[in-house]
Amino acid sequence: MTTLLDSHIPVLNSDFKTEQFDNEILLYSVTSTLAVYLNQTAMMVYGLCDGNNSVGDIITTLETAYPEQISSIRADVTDSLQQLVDLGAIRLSA
Amino acid sequence: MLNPEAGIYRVGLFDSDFEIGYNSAAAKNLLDFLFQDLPPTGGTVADRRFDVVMAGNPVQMSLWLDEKRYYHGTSRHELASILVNEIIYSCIFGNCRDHAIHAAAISIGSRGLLFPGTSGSGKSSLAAWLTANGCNYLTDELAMVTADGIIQPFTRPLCLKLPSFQILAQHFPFREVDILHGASGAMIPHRCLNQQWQPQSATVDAIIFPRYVKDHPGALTPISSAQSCLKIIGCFVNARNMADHGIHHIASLARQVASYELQFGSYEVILPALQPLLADTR
Repeated sequence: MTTLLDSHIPVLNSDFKTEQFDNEILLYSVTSTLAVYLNQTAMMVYGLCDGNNSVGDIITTLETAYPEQISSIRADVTDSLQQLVDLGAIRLSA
Repeated sequence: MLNPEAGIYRVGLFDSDFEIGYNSAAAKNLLDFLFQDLPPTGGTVADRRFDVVMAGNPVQMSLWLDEKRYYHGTSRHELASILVNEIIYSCIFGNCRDHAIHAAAISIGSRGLLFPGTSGSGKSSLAAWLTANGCNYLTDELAMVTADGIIQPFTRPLCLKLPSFQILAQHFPFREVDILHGASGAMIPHRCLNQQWQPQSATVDAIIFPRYVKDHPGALTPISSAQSCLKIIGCFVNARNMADHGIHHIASLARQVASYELQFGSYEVILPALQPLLADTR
């Protein structure tokens, strides 16, 4: 398991494609025949993984957008990123 | 000398026809039992040719696919199961147009209810119970779904595992002569459960993922389109024939109709749980 640091920059794996639903997203890779369902939080996190934002940037962005949920956002973001790393949908660049 | 009982049986499925040679009236009867609802389409005849041979006393049976023998023994049920599976495989193998979904399906008028699920999820039991209670049987195993949602079913006899068959037989005392028994289960002609059956065209109106849970009182729970799509992918048999594994089309289907998870622990809870979907109000 990779330890997530705020300085890590999540980079999307181009093998993965997305299928967008109303408030959800399906992430899938044809080459590795994997598919996973992302909830709204994971979907927002994935959307912020543009190769420029660091983990810390993503947390700050969401804390600013949803100040009423500030106490849970860090855990939610790191959980979502960990799920995406484990799936191979993103890699972490130092 | 020509065998007057020998002939060629033609099965039609998804725009293709398959030829099955037989050598006796008993062999033809078995093919009628399995495929009477799949008449020839007049489409392309597949290159692969099956042969069913029955001879001797006690009867010895063989199933051949071209030059290769797939079965030899004394069990009609086992031969039938292998033949049906091989026909299904042959149909799916080259199909890159329609979506082959491992699913049971029934219709109510033109409304089709699709029950995707892997083995053991309770598809056949559900299909049997719904058929016995007035729904029109389409399939208990495989539905080809076209891009516009039309269900093209593989309509075969219902194949129930032994425990499920034994419970069903308590509700519907079958004539032994109608059933094809095997060591692991039984094949039941759907007309034994619903004599009003007619071949019907149906469009997917709801997708229900069955889950047998021992002693469960029955519950129908809506699920989101994304969750539905993910579950269908798990039952999508010819995905690798499609561009991007056909996920975009499956997603489109999941968006268009309501999806549910159905948990059930006995036959008796199925109808009450599904009641909102069974009412023919649309």
